Amino acid sequence: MTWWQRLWRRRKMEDQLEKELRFHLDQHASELIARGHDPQEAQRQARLALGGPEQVISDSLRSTDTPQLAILRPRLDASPILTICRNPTKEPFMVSTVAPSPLLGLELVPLYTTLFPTFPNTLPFPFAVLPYYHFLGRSFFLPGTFPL
Amino acid sequence: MQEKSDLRQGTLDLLILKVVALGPVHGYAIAQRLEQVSRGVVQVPQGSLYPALHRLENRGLLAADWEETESGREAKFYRLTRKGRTQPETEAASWRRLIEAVGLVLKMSEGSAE
Repeated sequence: MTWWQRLWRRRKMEDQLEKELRFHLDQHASELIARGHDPQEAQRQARLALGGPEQVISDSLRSTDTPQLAILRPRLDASPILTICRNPTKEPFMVSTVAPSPLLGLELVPLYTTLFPTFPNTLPFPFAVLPYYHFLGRSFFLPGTFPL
Repeated sequence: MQEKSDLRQGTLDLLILKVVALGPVHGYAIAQRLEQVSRGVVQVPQGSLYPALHRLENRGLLAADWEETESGREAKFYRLTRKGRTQPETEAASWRRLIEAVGLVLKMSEGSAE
C-alpha cells in the first residue's frame, strides 16, 4: 500500500484493527474463563493485558507510516476536511458544518495553516506546487514570492 | 516458575516471523505460541504485538487475510511472503553470531574473576 493509499484508507485500517483487537480480547477472556475465572474478571484482565485498544490502534497505524506521513500525521489527524473525505457517511455533523465552509471561503485560513508549513515540501515537485497554484492563482508564482 | 524476560528491540520481529513460518496464524495465537515455546520466558507485550505485525505487513514480510476460525469467528491470519521467508534466516544467523560473541565476552570475564 502506498503512503497515499494509507492516508485515505485510515478509517478502514482503524476498523480492521479494532476488529482484530476485539477478537484478541475475546480469545483471551474465553481462555481465562475456561481456567475458572469469573467472566467479568476475565474481561477486565484481558483488557489490562492488552493495554488501551486506542493506544494499540494508534501505535499500529503509526508503525506503518512512511517518514513523510509520520511528519504530517498530527496535522492530518486534526484536519476536519480529511476526516470528512475519508468517510463522509460516518461524519454527518462535520459534513453539514465544515464541508460547506470552504465554499464560503471560511475554511481557507485553517486549511493553509495546516498544509503550508510541511505538506508541499514533502511531495514531489508537481504535486507540491498544485495546492498553491490551485488556491492562490498564477500571481502567487511571480519571482520572489514563491514560498518554497 | 520461569523468570520472564524483556525482548530486545528487533527481536520481536524475528520471533514473529519464525512463528508465522510454521503456517498461517492470527495475532493471539502468535503470542500464545511464543510463550509456550519459550516455556513462559518470552512474554510478548500484547500492546507491542500488533504494531509489530502491521510493521512487518507493511514491509512486505507478512501478508494477511481474514479467515474463519474453528469457533466460526473471523480473524486476521498472517502468513509469510516470499520476502518474509528469507529474512528470518538472515536475522537468525546474525543473532547466533551475537550470542556467540556475548558468550565469549562472558567467558572471558568469568575467567578473570576466578
